[in-house]
Amino acid sequence: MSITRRKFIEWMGLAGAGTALGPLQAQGASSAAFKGYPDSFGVLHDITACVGCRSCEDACNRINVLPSPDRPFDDAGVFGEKRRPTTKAYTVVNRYERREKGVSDSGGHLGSPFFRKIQCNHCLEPACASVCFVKAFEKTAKGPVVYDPTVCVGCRYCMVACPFEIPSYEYEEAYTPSVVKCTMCSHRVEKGELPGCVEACPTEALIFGERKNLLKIAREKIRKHPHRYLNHIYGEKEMGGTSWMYLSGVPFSEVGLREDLGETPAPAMTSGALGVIPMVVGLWPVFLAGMYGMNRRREKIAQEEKTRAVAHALDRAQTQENPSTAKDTRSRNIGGKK
Amino acid sequence: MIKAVRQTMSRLPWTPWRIITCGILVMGFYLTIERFTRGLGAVSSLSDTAPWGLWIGFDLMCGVALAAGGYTTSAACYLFGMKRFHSAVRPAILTAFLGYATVLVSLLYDVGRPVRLLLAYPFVVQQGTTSLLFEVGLCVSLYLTVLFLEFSPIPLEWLGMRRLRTMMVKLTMGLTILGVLLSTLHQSSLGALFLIAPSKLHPLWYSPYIAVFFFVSSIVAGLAMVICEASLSHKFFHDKMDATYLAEHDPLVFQYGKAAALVLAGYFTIKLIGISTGNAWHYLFTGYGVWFLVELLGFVLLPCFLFAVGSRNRDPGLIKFSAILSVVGIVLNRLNVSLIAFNWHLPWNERYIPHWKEVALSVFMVTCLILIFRFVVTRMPVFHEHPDYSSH
Amino acid sequence: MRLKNKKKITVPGLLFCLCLLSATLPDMVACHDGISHLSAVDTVRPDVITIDSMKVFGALERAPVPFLHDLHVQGVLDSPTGKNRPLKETCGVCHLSDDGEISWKFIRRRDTTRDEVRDVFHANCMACHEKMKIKQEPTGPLSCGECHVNAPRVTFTRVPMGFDKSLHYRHSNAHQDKCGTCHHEYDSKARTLSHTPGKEDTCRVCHEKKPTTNPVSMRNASHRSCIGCHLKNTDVDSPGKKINGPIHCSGCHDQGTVSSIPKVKVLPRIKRNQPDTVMIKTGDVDVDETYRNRMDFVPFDHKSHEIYSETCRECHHAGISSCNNCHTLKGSEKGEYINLELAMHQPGSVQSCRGCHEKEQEKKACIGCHAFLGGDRDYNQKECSKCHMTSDAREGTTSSEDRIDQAMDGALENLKENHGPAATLLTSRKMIHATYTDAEIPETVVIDDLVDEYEAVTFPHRKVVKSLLTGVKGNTLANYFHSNKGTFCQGCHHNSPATEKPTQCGSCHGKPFNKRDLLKPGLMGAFHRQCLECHRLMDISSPAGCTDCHEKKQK
Repeated sequence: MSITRRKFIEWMGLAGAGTALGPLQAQGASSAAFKGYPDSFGVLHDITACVGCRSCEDACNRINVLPSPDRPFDDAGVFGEKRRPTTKAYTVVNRYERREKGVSDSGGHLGSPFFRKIQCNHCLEPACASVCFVKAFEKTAKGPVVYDPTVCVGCRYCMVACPFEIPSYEYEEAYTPSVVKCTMCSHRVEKGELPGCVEACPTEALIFGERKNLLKIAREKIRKHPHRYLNHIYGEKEMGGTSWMYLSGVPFSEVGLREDLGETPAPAMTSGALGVIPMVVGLWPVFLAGMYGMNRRREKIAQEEKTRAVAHALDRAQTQENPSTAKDTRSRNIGGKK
Repeated sequence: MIKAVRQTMSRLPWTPWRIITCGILVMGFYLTIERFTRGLGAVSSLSDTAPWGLWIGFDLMCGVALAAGGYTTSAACYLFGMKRFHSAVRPAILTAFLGYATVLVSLLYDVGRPVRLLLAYPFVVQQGTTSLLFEVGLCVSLYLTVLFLEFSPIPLEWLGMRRLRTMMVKLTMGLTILGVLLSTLHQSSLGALFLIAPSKLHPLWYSPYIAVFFFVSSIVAGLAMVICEASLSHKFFHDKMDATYLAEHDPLVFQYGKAAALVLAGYFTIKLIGISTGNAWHYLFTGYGVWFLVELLGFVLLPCFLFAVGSRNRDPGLIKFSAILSVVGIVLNRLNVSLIAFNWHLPWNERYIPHWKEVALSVFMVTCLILIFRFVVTRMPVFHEHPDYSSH
Repeated sequence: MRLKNKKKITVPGLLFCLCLLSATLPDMVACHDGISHLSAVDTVRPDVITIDSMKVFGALERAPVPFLHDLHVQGVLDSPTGKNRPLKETCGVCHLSDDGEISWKFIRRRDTTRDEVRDVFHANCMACHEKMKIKQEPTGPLSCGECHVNAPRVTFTRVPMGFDKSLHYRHSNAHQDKCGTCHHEYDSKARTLSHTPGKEDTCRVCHEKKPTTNPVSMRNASHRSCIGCHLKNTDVDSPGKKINGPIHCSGCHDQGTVSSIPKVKVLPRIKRNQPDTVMIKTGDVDVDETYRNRMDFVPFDHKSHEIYSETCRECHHAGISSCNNCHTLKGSEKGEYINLELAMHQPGSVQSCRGCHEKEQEKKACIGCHAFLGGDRDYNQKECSKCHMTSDAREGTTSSEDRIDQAMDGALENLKENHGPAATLLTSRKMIHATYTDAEIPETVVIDDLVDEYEAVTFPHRKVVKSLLTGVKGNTLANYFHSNKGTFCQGCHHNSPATEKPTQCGSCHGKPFNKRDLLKPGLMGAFHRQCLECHRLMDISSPAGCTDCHEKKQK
């Protein structure tokens, strides 16, 4: 979802300001796919090079001034459980054991685990931004998806929508809870600096750069080391593409990344439903008023027929009683109707 | 003074039901204070993977569906020319109005910053028009206004404000059309909310047609709820009802039963089409599949059949039973979509199970609704026509 | 009509039953196979024979029957009929024999008609099961669905059987090197089997994997010959049943049993007139000039490679003949159009020279350096001559025309050339197991380019070089291909020329996250990646944390 598209929708809304439902125009069915902002930034995470030192977690904590963790950042004991980003940590690193452990007897190296860093993937067309009814999320032209806590109502639809289950909520906060997620250090990126985690990575398993360059680098790495990497860049196409991408030596599902998300960007999933709304608004009243009119007419005819039948019955009764006056009554009735 | 209080106390009949009601209210008030002073975390088991819990799944989803009786009945009566059910409109509108009001109140509990919801941030500050929730919010708030206006003749008659009441009655037709329009939109969009999460909702429930499923099933819910509510009222507020209401009661039940059978048959068919388009047949033989079949066969096909039999045999008892079955079915469906089949890929220990305080607050909401309903019907002209306006 | 009281109960009851039914239906549909009551039976077994004999008469009417052979053999041996009889006769309970040749079909010699074969199974299986049932002994199923199961509970884990050199030696030794005991050729005219010494091939040349009748499939041939021979050599008449070689399924097809067969430690070479050394030549005589080889031939040390491989098949596929018979320069149908170049250089294939050599690089002692060299390496010109050796005599003097002539000569020449040019070339190879002298190798390197949070690292440079060197001691592959003293340095100092003073890390790796060159890690990334990756791949447990290499700075 692009800002231009949203602006367009707003204009459409203004144009249709006469109707209360104006702003509901769908952003739907444009045939051109949004390929992300040109020259936007991203990060390439080489899972095979990550050693699980958690320096990125440490740096993230310092730079974003987050509360100090329950266990220090050099404690490898945290890998015992699968963690997820929380309100206290925008990013976490998890350990994944190799499935094919010990298959080769030629070297012990097969037994070593993989580490993967988890944070917001900063989708090119973010689900969170498309579902937010106050536009608290925005995909900036530089790449980061940023959140504005000053408008958030706290409906948490973004959390329902996020396919990567990233946003976290301050449930413990009584009065001013917000959604919390990685910002890709947008305040630093704007200044031309590296995101905190990237800068801290001692093995350069994280590389920050223009997304289109990162894709080239990823392909080059795969070409150079065909045995080391799978021929797949996770995030190149997943959910319409993400700014944060991954390279791995084992199937991505083995390092906790879902491979069944498909390539449809999130906004495309709801565009159909949104597109129907203006049609319903336009046609439903016509149909309903038509129904009403038809029924009114039917009732009226029924009423007339009823009156006529009563008159007829009366007429016949009177004719039987008094044939001479019957004619007058009938003509009077008909005259009255005219 | 104390003596006076004691006297009043002793005059109040302390039936067990009243004691329970009082208990619920006290608990509700206490938990309300806890919710708004200690945060959502203190009263709910919502988590980062389960951001929507019972208050959305039951209070909002089921509440809105079950309040569909308002638009179905007013549409049937005013638009589709079934004038003879005129007496059913007022209770249905009242139920719908109270239902939607409860939904709104529940939402104030559920969202993190309720003040911003009350200040209509999504409509005033920034409009997230690409969100289906925006549409739901807009429609629900507009529809609540519409329902209030449709409902307003009742208190106006009670209060004796004649001119205002006449003005309101004149608006009936326009309000009904607007009501049906808004209901169509938000009933369907409640389902469409889940279109964004194909990776989280079980394929048997997820469908590109989920919006249609929600809309069609809301009609069933509306019809079934009117039958249920009419029967319950018949039992408890019989003395408040006038001859017209009582005379129209049985034909209404049969007619609604027939309609419900038809709509359920259609609903069953499109549900099957939904499985076909998603090609989710193989999931039927898993645990979730069995659960899906329980919903589809036990609470859609069975009531459909029983409604048909009941209306053919003129058996109000069977129709009422089917209505209860359908209502349970709709509740089941909404809970399935929003809670049970949602996040189905997660291991059980990471799944959402409501906190008892969430349940208690939901019970509190429903209790308040019933109490207000009772207050209104015992005082205002709902089940009977006001003597001054009987010519309406 | 009002809903009567009875009905009020009926309807919810009906509903409840519906729910219950839908919940239990999947369980009810699932079949229980015949062995479900034998709880002691392993569900993962090497002896499952799927009886689908009726297939020869067309489509099966019911699911094939999983049959546990070893379980039945044991049953026969334990039964009163089998207890005190010679082993061979116990086979006769189920298998008919003609003149000592056992038919491995069940109580029949050939598949006659659908009804007959079906009745053989039904009558005999059921009769035995029933008999045991009456005697109240544990036995197999008696109803249709228990044998004909759609989803068998047992899974088949047969490991493929084949002779390795050790097993081959045990057999040839036992038969006093009479190769003809097993190896034979089929004379289709005379319809006889004969044996020509020195021409032995692998069984799989004729006996194929797919089911065939003449020659019989590998499966039938091996079962008939191996088990037949094992039974023959069994002390047949004594009831003690001393067995020479396995006769049960698990004896050959169970991972545990097979790996428990003792390996012969010092193996003599297999005697089949194979050369010690051989020149790998191009085989095409009549190809047009475009396809003629201009490369020097490759001398190949056949004898030493025999040690590295477990079987002849590892390199020679099924048929033992020279590579260029099938892998011609142009590629031939016989060689599946894998031409000679590909056959020798295809990466990833263990049958090509390069593939196998690269596989060797994955060993713990080698992987530390070789992992960084990348898998897409193009041919290095200098490396060609390591194998395509040019003899000193020819160097400079031989024109390409002459070489073509030699190629043609070579193709016509017999393979036997134990003392020919190949041997000369091979002996001329220089092995190096050395690098620079201690004095030339810096003892330690202080890495202090990036001192920020941590103190500088004192890297024990010489110690690392020495230990890497020790790792490949005696490894001829490494010592031949690490052609000079500097090659060893290139393991870490990659992309540097092989010299005494290779480029330092900082020469190429500079500022981290350099926007202009994101593919190449900065200095810090390069250090961490190379050190940690090498330690991980070579299974060196330290360092366990940051401070194992560098001290945290005191602030």
